[in-house]
Amino acid sequence: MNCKRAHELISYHLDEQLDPAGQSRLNKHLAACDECATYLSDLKEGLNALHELPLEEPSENFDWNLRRKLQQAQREPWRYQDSPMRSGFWPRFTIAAAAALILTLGGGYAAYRILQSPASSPLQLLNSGPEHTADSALDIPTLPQPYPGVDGGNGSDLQVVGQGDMNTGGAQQRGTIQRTEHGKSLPPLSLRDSDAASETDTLAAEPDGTAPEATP
Amino acid sequence: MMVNPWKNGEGQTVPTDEDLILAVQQGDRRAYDVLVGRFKVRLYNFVLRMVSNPDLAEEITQDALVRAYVNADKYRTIAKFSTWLYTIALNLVRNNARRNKRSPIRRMPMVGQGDEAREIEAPDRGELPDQDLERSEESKHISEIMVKIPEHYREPFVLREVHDLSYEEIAAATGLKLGTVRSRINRARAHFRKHWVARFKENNEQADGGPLR
Repeated sequence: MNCKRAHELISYHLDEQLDPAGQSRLNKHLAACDECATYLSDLKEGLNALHELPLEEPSENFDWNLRRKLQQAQREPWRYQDSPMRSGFWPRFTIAAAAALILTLGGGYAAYRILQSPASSPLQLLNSGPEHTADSALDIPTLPQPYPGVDGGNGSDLQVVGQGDMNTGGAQQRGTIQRTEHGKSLPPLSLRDSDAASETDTLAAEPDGTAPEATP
Repeated sequence: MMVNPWKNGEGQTVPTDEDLILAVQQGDRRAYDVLVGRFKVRLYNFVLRMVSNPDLAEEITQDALVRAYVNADKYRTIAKFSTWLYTIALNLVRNNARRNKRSPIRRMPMVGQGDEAREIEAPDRGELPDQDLERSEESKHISEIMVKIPEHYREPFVLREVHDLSYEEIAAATGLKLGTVRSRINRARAHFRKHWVARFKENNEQADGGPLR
């Protein structure tokens, strides 16, 4: 038996909760270990001092103050009643519920935007062809510029060339698609060039409610 | 049926705490006063060992007793009244500790504070007989040691060592599992012994010229 285990058994021994076998093992350890024997005698001495301390009396105006509080409790019992709000349960519950609601709504909105978007990732965006690329590019304001060209399947490399601040969002991010084919520059693909109807649909779905601008 | 805690079939008897609180549930104020008389000092000493501040201990004790009165209808006979009362006091002690952690200066509001604050001062130490003075000093030192025991160990320790509650009663009052009560009492005792030896034995040995351990 190690000394840590012996200290546990000493605690049970003091509470007379040690079975005969445990008591026998403890006695054996105490006979061989001076440190634990001293631990036990010190502990007994300290606890005896604690037990012998007389109970302290509260002050003389304890009863007077208690009566005052009882009178107050009769007038305003809610001050002393167990209330979920006063105990801190409801505030914690409300905060947790609000956080869950925000996360749910936020997650739902994000999922809605992803589902509404014709292309949901930059790779998909570029693989989906020039028409969809133009629309989707408006929805991704954080596209690095120049965006690395990816073969769209028709041998064209595409670059989004912004005409406004890409971080302002909405219709201001209207862009043109700079097309190259095997390093040879092609005429830029404007949104109207690709599919005006598709663009209008996409812009109408913008969350900020901005009316779609007519592309010159 | 109205509970009468003062008499049984054989005549006058001493009502149990549980008889009394059931009578309080029926609106018997006298029964409540008897309970206050029985528990006032014990409960005050329990709280005092937890907070180590006589004024604060009185406030918490009074609040616990008032809450026991206002919420008497919530008491159920499945638990001992003393366990229920200690639980109320313990919750107030914990709430106070939480508040102090957030704002160390803030203290529990005291009804009657201000003009009506206590006028009775502590007795002058110089008037105490030597033996009382020595005991008072020892009590102060032991209170200081108790405060050094981490709070979550101190709760079951005080209930066990000062109020002689069983492990089962401590588990009920604190909401801890029985094994946790055992282990926390064991750890609290180790803390208590360490600080007690450092305070009393080593000081004595130093005074006697003996070696420090």
